[in-house]
Amino acid sequence: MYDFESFQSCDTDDQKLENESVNQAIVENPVTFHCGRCNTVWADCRGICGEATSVNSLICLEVTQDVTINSEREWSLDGLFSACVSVLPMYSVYNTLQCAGCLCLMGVILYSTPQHLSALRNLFLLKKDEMYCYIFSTGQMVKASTLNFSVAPLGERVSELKQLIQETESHLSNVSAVMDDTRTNEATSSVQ
Amino acid sequence: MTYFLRLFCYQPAQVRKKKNNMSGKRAFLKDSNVTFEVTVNDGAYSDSTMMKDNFRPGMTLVVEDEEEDGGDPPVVFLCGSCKLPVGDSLSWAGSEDEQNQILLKRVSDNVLVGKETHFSGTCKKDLGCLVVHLTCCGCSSLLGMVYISTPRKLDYIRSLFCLDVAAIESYVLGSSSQQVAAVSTKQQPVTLEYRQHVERQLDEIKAVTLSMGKRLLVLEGDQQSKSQM
Repeated sequence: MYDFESFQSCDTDDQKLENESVNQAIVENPVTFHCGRCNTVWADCRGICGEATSVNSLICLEVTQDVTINSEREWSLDGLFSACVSVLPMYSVYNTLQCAGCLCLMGVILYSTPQHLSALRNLFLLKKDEMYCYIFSTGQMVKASTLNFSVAPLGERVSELKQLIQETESHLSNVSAVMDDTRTNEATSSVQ
Repeated sequence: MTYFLRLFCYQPAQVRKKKNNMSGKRAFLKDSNVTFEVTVNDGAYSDSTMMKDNFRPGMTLVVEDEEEDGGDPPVVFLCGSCKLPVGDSLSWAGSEDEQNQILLKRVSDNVLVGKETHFSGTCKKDLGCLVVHLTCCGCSSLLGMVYISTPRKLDYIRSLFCLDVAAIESYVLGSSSQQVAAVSTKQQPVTLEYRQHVERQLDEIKAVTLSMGKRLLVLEGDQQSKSQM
C-alpha cells in the first residue's frame, strides 16, 4: 500500500487544523464540481480523496461520464502542461482529461511518476483553476481555488489514541494489582 | 448522459418517509408556516455508493449507513440548457405531477426572480393566480415560476419555487461511475467521506477510553479509602 500522506507532509499545524474543519464541512455539506466554462458536472464530494497541492488539483476516485480520458499518453520533463497553462509534476507520463461539454483540458491521470508522487498515479487529478463548486447548504457557486480539500494525516491521531489506551491499560493493571493485594490481606486476616 | 435521473423517479426521504402515514395518494404536510402538498410516487431509488466503501478489502471498519435515516442521496438540479446549478434537494418541498413541476423552498444564486408580475392562466388549475417568472442567469431560459398570489386551494404552493421539470436536469450525488481501469482497490486512497467515518469512530473510541479511565480513578479512590478504614 502506498503512503498516501507522504506528498503532503509539509503542512503546518495551523493548516492541519484549518483543513480538518474544511473537510468536516465538505462531508456534511454536499458539494458538486463543475466545469468553469460550460458548467458540466465533473465529480461530486463522494468521489474525492483530497487535494494534491503540488499540482493544484483535486484527487478523485470517481468522475462522471462527461470526463473523457484521452487514450494517447503524453509526457513532460519541465512540469508544464502542453497547450494549457498549468503545473504538472516534473518527469511524468500521463493521459489528459477533457471535458465532454466544452472539450477543455481539465486534468490528467498520471501513469509514470518520480517516487515522491507514486501515490498520485492512476487517479483523476482535476485542475482546480477552472473548476467551480456548487455548495448545497448555501446554494452558492464558488471557485474551487477558494476551497481547501487537503487532508491531515490520520497516523498522528491513531498513535495518540494508542498511547491513551496503553496508559489506561497500565492504570487498570495497577488498580487490579492493588485490589488483589487487598483481597489477599483480607483473606489472611479472616483466617487468623 | 447516463447520470441524469428522470426527475419523477426522484423522491427525497423527508417526503417518502411520510408515505406510510398517508391514506390516499396525496397528503398535506405542515412545515413551520408553509403548507404544501406532496405527491407520492412509488418509484424507489436505491444507492450503492456506501456499500462499496463498506467492502473495501483489508478494512473491517463498519461505515454507518448515512442513508439509513435520510433515504436518498442529495440531488442537484441544473438548468437544462446551460447546466448551471439552480437548486438542490436539501430544500425539497414536493412535486406537482399535473403541472410537471418540482417545488423547492430555496434556489441558488443562479436563478433570477422576475420583477414583472404575470396573470397565470396556463392551465385550469392555476387560473387566477399571480406569478413571477424564474429565469436562469446563465442563459436566460425560463425555469419556472413563483406564485405570489393564490386562491385558497393553491395556498400550499404560494411562495415556493416551482421549477418546470422539462427545463431542468438533475445530478444525484454519488452517481459518478467512471473509474480508472486496472487499479486494484488496495492501491486506492480512501475518500474524504470514508475518512470522516474513520475519524468519527476514532473519536468514539477515545471517548470510551477516557470514560474508562475516569471510572478506574473512582474505583481506585474507593479502594484507597476502604484500605485506610
